[in-house]
Amino acid sequence: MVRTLGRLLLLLVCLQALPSQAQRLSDALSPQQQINIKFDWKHQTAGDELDPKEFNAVVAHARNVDTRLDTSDFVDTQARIFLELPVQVRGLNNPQRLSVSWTTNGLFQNGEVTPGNRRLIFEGRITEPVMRDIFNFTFEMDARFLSEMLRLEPIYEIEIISP
Amino acid sequence: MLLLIFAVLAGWMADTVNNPAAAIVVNIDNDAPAEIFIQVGKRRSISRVRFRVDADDVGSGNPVNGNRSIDIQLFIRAPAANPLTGFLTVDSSTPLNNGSGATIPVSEISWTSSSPDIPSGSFAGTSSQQLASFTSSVEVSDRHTFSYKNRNVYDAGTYNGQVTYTWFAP
Repeated sequence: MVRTLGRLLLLLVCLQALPSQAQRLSDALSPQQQINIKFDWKHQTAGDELDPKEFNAVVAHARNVDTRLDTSDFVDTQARIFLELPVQVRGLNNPQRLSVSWTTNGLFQNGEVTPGNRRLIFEGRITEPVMRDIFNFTFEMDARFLSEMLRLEPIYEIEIISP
Repeated sequence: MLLLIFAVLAGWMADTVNNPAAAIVVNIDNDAPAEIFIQVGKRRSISRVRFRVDADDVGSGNPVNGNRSIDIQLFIRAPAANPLTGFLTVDSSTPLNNGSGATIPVSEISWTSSSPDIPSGSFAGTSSQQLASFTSSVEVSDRHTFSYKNRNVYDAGTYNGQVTYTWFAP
């Protein structure tokens, strides 16, 4: 009995030592909640030097997106923050045909991600209850797979490295 | 002790389901217009092809190749939600003429294509001969080499004419 309890305790210690699971960060503090933009052709003067993917590429830009993440529960912890796109995007026939890239003002890292994946945008100590940065997003996809208006909901996740 | 273990596990598991809903939503509508494009020969100019028939070969039936080939480039593109079909036609209804009343029907001229996109053929001498159709999104690059059939005897002279290609999507 004592040996069994000891094993359970050891298991618990091991579980607690594992990197914590990702938790979703709220971006509800961001001032703009609905961003409505439009796709246009990436290459306005198409020619035979374009491969089919580039020939059919459309892009849309969302500039100066003031993004505020609620990190109040994680102040003074060492953490990683990720930007993730859900694998299901309304209006998209093939998730791999969409890519989202962004630049920031520097608090978060620049990056690129496709639906169903996530990208590290921050690693370090959380010092503020609200982390704020300005994102400039570029959305690019193959118009052959665009069936209707796209609706995207970027997700911000945090993983605690150490308290 | 068992209760304590459960409490710790429950707390650890609760962390994994603390997921507030995403707030920022990006709606992207499609504003990319359907587009078609065509270029025959040089950009913004009329390209000329010359056939020179030697006097002792007139009407012999030996085809005479034009002095140059003509590149034809076209494309049609549209989002998948609103596909388009484009039609390539040519107007060859006006015969070549020598300025003195003598004419040669353009149907005496044929072409060979460098690719099967726009098949090889002969001008029909009509106002709207369909050469090909394509559904979006397609890029076509073809090179046509023209040939005069040289089947009949005509008055000596220089005959000029013009054919016009039209690329349209109804």
